Amino acid sequence: MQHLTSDHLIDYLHHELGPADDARVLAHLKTCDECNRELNLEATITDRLRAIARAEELELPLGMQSAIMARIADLRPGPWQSLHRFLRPIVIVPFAAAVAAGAFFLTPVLSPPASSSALPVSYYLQEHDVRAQENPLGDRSAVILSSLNSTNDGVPVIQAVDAQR
Amino acid sequence: MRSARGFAFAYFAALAALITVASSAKGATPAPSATAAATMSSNQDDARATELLSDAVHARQAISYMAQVQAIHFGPSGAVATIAREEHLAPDQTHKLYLAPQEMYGDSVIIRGAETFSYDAQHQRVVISHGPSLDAQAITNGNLALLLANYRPIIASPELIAGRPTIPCALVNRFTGVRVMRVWIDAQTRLILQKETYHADGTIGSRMQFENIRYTQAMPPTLFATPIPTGYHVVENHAPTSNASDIERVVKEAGFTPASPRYLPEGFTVVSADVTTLKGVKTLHLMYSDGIRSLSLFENAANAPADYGRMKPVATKIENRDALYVNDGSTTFLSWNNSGLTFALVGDLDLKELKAIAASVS
Repeated sequence: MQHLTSDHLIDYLHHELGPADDARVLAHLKTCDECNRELNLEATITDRLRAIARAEELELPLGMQSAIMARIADLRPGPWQSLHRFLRPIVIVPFAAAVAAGAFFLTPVLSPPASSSALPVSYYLQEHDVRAQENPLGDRSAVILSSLNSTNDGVPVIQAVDAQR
Repeated sequence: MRSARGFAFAYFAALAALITVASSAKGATPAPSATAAATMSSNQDDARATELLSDAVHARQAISYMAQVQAIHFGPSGAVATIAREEHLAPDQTHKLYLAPQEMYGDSVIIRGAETFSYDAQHQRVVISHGPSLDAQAITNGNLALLLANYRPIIASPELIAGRPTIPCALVNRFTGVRVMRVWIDAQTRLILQKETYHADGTIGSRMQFENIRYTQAMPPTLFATPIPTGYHVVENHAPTSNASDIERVVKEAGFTPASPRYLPEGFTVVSADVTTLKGVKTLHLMYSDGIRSLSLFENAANAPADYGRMKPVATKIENRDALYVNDGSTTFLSWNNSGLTFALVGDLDLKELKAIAASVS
């Protein structure tokens, strides 16, 4: 079979191909070392470009953010105009109905009843991390405890065990 | 009785004869075709990559070193990095001291065989984890076999990492064709000096890399001593189990009739199980893996939703049941209740996939 073009490989790498083309490219890659090398090269280039882009990200000029916020504030209606617009029946009636319905239906879901036997999410996440790190080639073996895990809500926080084990 | 050598000779002679017959029957040219040569070359590459990976996962049992290790986790809200100094004395002693970030400065981890001592300076405690009682080598070999069943290793051109020549090796999922990991293996010692993981969209998820590595065995034994500092309290963790009969026994220990998923993504299989008790609640933890990615299913009879504390969970549905989830980077936590049991799934899979697994739990 003819080798894949760079365009095809790039589209494949970025999941831009249709299902049929995608399957064809995958089938070819399974048997073609040369195209695999090309694919890896393209992936490396993409990674490097991303790294360079990240490194070259520029800060906004000093004062630009505050200038934008000030401009937005100028365009905002005054408090009296906002209140007047809000209190019109066509707005306030559906709004009140939506708030009441939301409170009725969503309260049990969004605010689950606190229970003394409820286990904290951090416990589950730590258990997962510790076990997953036991695989030396696992995707968690270089893991850093996530920001979720660092939420210490009474359960011992287990350190990331090791990056290499 | 025929000797082993005699059997091997007879076998290869028969094989050669078979190939000759097949060639003449097809009227093929005496030289192997381009396709056959390519296949042979591909098989040789696969064998080389497999051997390289096998050497890499066992390297720490033979190689001692001192190094600085940097790990970065890329999340949607930014990157989190740790820097640690690491001393490893083969086969199984490791001392790791965290230098960054600030909140981990001074924390350390000491591994001695199957035991891990994690010193948490901020909370003044030592977490002692007892590793699996099974042979560590057998577990490593098991993980490697699972990984190779699901991922194809592809070797690339040599690169320099931490000043040492390395052989990069990409791991491509055999079912999806997606590259999920790349490791850079020291060409001489076979130690993994750099590792990157990737999300399904190809973006980088994490990177671990060695810096300033020095291979040496000259280390003071005090580095691996594990005293409990005055004022520290000790938290003990138990060992999980990973053999099939033990998994069955552990499941019985849970004290309730557990449920398991009828659907798992391609290549995933149960690799360990354990039961922990917290707040008087026995929780069964089933760990699934495809050799690289991992997925945890927790279940207990508390019949109380998971406590999200200060996190802001998002409401969703698993078929008709209410559920909640939170994301942190690539990790998703999904919880729901069903038939008096509380369930939680944790994994680096997308929400759609996790919900499909959750819907199949019965």
